[in-house]
Formats: sequence, structure tokens, C-alpha cells
Amino acid sequence: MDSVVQIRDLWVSIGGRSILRGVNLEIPRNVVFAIMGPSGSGKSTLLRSLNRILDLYEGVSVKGQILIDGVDVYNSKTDPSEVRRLVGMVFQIPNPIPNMSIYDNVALGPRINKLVRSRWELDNLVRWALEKAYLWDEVKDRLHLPASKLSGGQQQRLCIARALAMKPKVLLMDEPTSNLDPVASAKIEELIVELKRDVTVVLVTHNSFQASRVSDYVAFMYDGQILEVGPTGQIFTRPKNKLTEKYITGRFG
Amino acid sequence: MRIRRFLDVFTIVSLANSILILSVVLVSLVLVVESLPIIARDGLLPLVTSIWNPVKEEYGFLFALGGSLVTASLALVFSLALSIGSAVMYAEFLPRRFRVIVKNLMDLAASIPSVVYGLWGLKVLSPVLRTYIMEPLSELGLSQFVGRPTPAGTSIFTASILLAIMVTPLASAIIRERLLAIPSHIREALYSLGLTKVEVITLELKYIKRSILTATAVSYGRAVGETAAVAMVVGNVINLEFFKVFKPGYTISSLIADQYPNAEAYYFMKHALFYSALVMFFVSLAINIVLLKFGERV
Amino acid sequence: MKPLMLRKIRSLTMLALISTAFALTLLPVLSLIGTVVYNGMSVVFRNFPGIFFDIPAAPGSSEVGGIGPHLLGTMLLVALAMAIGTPISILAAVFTAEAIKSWERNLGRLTRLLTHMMIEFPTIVVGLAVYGLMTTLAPYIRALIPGFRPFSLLSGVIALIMVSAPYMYAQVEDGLKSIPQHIREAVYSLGAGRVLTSYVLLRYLKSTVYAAISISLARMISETAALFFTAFGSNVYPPLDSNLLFRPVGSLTLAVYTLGLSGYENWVELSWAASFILLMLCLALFALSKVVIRGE
Repeated sequence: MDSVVQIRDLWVSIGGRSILRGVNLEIPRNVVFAIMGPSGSGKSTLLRSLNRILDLYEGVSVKGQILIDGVDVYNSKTDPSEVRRLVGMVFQIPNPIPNMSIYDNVALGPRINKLVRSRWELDNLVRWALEKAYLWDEVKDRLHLPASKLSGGQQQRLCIARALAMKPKVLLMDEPTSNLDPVASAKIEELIVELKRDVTVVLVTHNSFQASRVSDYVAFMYDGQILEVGPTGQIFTRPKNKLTEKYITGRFG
Repeated sequence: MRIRRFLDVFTIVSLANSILILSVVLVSLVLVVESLPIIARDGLLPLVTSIWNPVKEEYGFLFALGGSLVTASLALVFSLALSIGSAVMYAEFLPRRFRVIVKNLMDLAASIPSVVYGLWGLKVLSPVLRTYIMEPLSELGLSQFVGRPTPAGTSIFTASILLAIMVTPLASAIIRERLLAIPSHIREALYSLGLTKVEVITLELKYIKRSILTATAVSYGRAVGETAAVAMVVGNVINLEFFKVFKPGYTISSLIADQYPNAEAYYFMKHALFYSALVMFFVSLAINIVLLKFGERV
Repeated sequence: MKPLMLRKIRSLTMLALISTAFALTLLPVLSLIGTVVYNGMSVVFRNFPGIFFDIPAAPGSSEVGGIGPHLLGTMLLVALAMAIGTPISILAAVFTAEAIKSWERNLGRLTRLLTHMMIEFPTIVVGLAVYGLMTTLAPYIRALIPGFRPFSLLSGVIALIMVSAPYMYAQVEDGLKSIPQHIREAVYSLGAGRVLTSYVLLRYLKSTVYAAISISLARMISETAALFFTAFGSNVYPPLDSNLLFRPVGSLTLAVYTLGLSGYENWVELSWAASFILLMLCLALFALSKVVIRGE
């Protein structure tokens, strides 16, 4: 199988406390891959180690190997910003840059990374990304308004468009619906399923129902380790691990 | 209980407010009233002429006005560079354990009396600037544009450097606090797009441009109004070419501080000094309005 | 790979510029503290403890003498200004924060606006205005107090109050404003009137109030420009009689200024000593305000 992400024996500790304890994972191309688990299980840290956002904080140490599309993420010769260009990210809190316009938010990545040669090309790329994020129709007449004017769900879709505009290989999503209302969440879920045509989605969620609705593969994390991985249908119908079973049936803790 | 209803004790407290209001009103009033004699005689002439001839009762303080604007503007340029740079260093690069020391040192620097800066500026900074910056530069042929330094090293340039040093701790603190207050999820979003540290910092500085404006306005106000330190290092010489910054000169504040002991001897001189103070008053009023409209609370 | 190179170069340039700015910000401060401590301490110990009591020696002599009159002047000025200015500032802040009726709110708003403007006024302008006021009033005051002069301790005290009261007012008012509404409501719901409530809220804000007081104290001790034409300065002790308030006095800051600019070596040395004492006072108050805030 062609894996776009390969994680080998990954150990992460923050401030001396070990958060990930020997994670091994292969993520296939063009799927939605959900990572679920109770809070504190290390799923967010796992996601943040993939694009080296963890580097921003003091006292983080990472051991092990991650390969994304053939790039050795933690090799000392690898530039973290190179990695982050391959990997888009959508966060728990919708975080468009509030004082920038809708257009500029999407255009930021392509501009900085010089992905386009002309204004025309940039316009097209922005439009493509906004269409992919199901946002174009809602904002096409007010592209130059500040992003802070949008609703929460729209802001989150804007963040998805912003990540897509860089044409990443992998899109990381860290509980993207946890701060949204049910209608906005449903729209995002619908979108996630569509996105796998263009990109591999790695979705962290504490909501097992969401994982069952949108994902092709599921990994169940507990206490810094992956207890079980497999195709979603298989995990949700015939879980091998007792804890996984408890979790997906909502009888956890 | 019944008495209280008629005489709310709290009403008496408003006396304190009245005193504060009255004092501000009185300050403004006195400035205007004491300037009137010379305004009535010369109108706006003192603002655009450079004469200081008490014997003939001729006063034009353009040289001091120019000196104030040049010193404060130069100081602002230096201090913006220093305060943005040091704030970025603090917020983005400095390891946590050094932060406490640096923060306390900067806060302490902001609370050292300005006259102490003045003495240090006179005895330490002036000779250093003369030997290592002003003399070499004027030897290089710049003296045509900036003038020649005096042996003491006191000059408009020296005053502006000293001012920059004095206002940087506060300006830097304003910028630093806002940089630190940028939510981490915004910072993460920027890095997740593959931006390098330089690019992220550039965007962050754009993001907090209101705070930078605030720091600018506050610094400018301080620089224009600062007296004791400036009067000690600016040289206090009537310099009609106030733009030749390596030469000694006057600022409005140093003119007032320096000339006042003579003021009682001449009728209009006192009023001329009040007039110059009134001009400063309006400059600081303008800065206040800018701050009120565009700035943030410090 | 070329853009990557460019990015690296840009990063390094930026880091170099930032570190330079950082060094240039801290270096002067360290130099200042170093020189003041080094020069000042040696003078203080040359004439210890006389430096705190003597008057300056004759200019140009080999003795230094002391800065007794200036120390006393600063103590008198600051003590009086604090005693009068503190209650005014705190009460005005309380009134502004607890105003309910519309005239009260308007008065509060006006106080706020004007004092906030006052904060940014150059202190030399404030000093000059106080002087102008006192010369205007002098003929009337002389009818009551024959010895009155505009250059006096009284003028100095008024100038210091005007310089520092707006700060104290602003800090206390901000503190009162930041108290969550539910706490204020809780106090009122116990049946307390406004005066009692304000008192309780001020006690709740104890550390803010103490910090405001110590910062005000530091501002008054540090003030120079406002004292030029008010306290005026003096190198001798004022006679301690009933006219004390109406005669010029010295201050530590005026001593640093005039002695430092005098050109006489022994007076410049005294200027360093006065700077050292000022620095130590500010350091003590700075440390105090930090401790108070941390104690919260």
C-alpha cells in the first residue's frame, strides 16, 4: 500500500512528561484517517508533531522518525517551513488572521511560498480553494472584508481554504468542529469527505460518531499509544480491543 | 437614615474631582493668559523667526521649536528601531528564564529619574558619541550637513540619542506586551502555512500596528516634553541651523529651563517663554488626540 | 533551492538586527546604573554620613560637603504632596468609578478625560503654569502672609501634586473598573451604602492602591522640570520657622541638575552622589511595588 505518512517509533515528551510513547502508524494516500481517543491521550500532540508545530514550544523533545511524502520530517537538514508547506493544518479554534481580508487569508500561503506567478493565477487559486471549501458562493461578493466578519462555521471553512490553497499533500484537522454548532459541523463533515479526492485528511476527534461518519480508517489512541488501527467499518463493528469497544459504544470512563 | 437621604456623603467626594478638573483648567488658562501680551504684540511671528534679543525685547523661538522637533523626531526613529527590535527579541527568541531579569531591568530603566539620565548623558554618553560617532563622521566630510561637534560633545544629536535611550524601555514594553498577547492559535496558523520565523514576525508586527502607533505617539510626547535630561546635553546655544544636528542647540523645554532665571528682568521675555510653553501644550494636546482616536490604553 | 538560500539569509540578517537592537537597548541602562553606582558610592563614602547632612562645600574646594538641604527639601516636598495628593486622587477615582446619577457620571467622565490629557503634558509646562498662577496670586497672598514668594515649598508641592495625581487617579480608577460587576453587586446586596461599598472595594484592591502610591512616590522623587520655577532650589537649609512653606527649597533632582552642570569638580561629584541616592530610592520603591503586586 502507498503510504503518504509513515511514523516510526515516535516518542514525544513535553517538559519532561512523556506524551507519546512509541507510536507507529502508516497513513494511506487520499483517505480520511481519523485518530480518536479520550482527551489527554496524545492525539493532538501526535498531529502537531507531523508538521513540527511542536517546535514553537519550549521543553519539547521528539525521538523517532516521521516520513511525509518521502520527506524526513525530523532530519536536522530539513527546514520545518518546508515540511509545513507539504502539510496544511486546521485548528480547533477557527483562526483566520482577523485583520486580514478573506482574500488575503487564502492568498497568504501561496504568496509567501511563491506558488503563483501572476495576479490572475493567484485569483484562480483563491477561487479554487474557496470553492473546495464550500465557501465561494457565500463570500464571492465580499472577498475584501476582514475575515473576522464571518460566522464561526464560515471562518473554519476559510481556514480549510487557506490550508488547501498551498496544495498540501496532507491536511491535518484538530477537532475542527468542536467549537461549532451542529449545522456548521455537519457542513464541515460533508466537506471532509469530499476533500479526500485532493488530499489526505488526518482528522483528530474525540467524537467517535464523527469518526464513524467521515473516516475510511480509524486509529484509537490511549495514554500515548495506539491501541488499534484499521478500516473504519471493521473497527466499529468488530473492535479487537476492549477499551476501543468501550469508547465507541460511549461507555468510556 | 433620613439625614443621609438629604446629604449623600458620596456627593462630598465630588470635591476631589472638582479639584482635579480645576487644576487642569487653571494650567491651560494660565498658559493662555500669560502668553497674551506677546501674542497681542507679535502674533505668530515668534513661531517663524529666530531672534533672541532681550535687550531690544525681540523674541522669536523658531530655533528652539526646530530644535525640539528635530531632537524628538530623531529620537523617535532611533527608539522605534530599538524598541521593536528588543520587543521582538524578548517575545520570540529570549528563553523564558532570562525574561524576568530583562523585564525587570527595562521596567527599572523606565523609572530612573530623567535628571540622572541627564548627568550620565553629559558625563558618559556625550564624550563617547563625540569621539566615536560625531568626530569621525564630520571628518568624513559630513560636517557641511551636520556641523562640527564641540569639545564637550553636547549637541542636538546627543540629546536625541539620550532621549531614544530614555523612551525605549516604555515603548518596548508596550510593543512587547502586545506581541506576547497574540493568541498562540494565530501564531500556529501562520507557522502551519510554512512561513519562516522572519515572515511570521513581519506579519505579527503588521497585526499589532496599533500598538506600535501607540508606542510612537507616547514616545514622541515624552521626547518633546522631556526637560531636565535634554537641557543637560543639548548644549543650550542659540543655533539658527538647528538641522545641523552635531552642533549644540536649544529645545523649547531647555530654553524655558535655561532662560527662566533671567525672565523677570525683561517684560516680554516671561510672556515669550509662556508662549513657547503654550506651543508645547498644543503639541502634546495633538498627540493626546491621536492617542485617543487611534491608540490603545497603555 | 535558491529561494531557500534567500530565506536563510533574510532570517540571519533579521536575527542580527534584532540582537543589535536588544543589546543597544540594554547596554546604556547597564552603563548608567554602573557609572552612577561606581561614582556615587565613592563620593557618599568619602564624607559618610556627613553627605546626608552637610551643605555643599565651596565650589572648587577639595572638600565635597553634602546634600543635606536637598535631601530635606525632597522629603518635605514629597511628604506634603503625598499627604494632600493621595486622598484627592483616590477619592476622585472612587467617585468616577461608583458614579450612578447622570451628573455624577458626567463629572467622572470629565475628570477622566482631563486627567488623561494631563498625564501627557510635559511637566515643565505644569511647573511653569503653577509659577504663573502663583505670581498672579502673589499680591493677594501677601496680604495674608507677608513673606510669600512664588518660588517656594508651597508652589513645589502644588506642582508635584499636579504632576502625579493624574497617574494615581488613573491607576486606582482602572483598578476599580476592573472589579467584576458580581463582586460589586455582592457588596451592595449586603446593604452597604456607596461610601461603605467603595471602602470595601478599595480594600479588595489593596495591592493596586499600594502600587499606585509607591509609583506616585517614585514619580515625585524623580521629578525635576516641574520644580525649576516652583521649589526653585537652594543649597542651604531653610530656617525652620512658620514661613517654611513660603521659601525656596532644594531637592535631590535639582541638586543633580545644577551641581552637575556647574563645572566645579567637587560639585559634579556631589551630583553623582545625589544621583546614587535617587537611584537607590527608586530601586527600593520599584522593588516594593513589585513585591506588593506579587503579594496579591
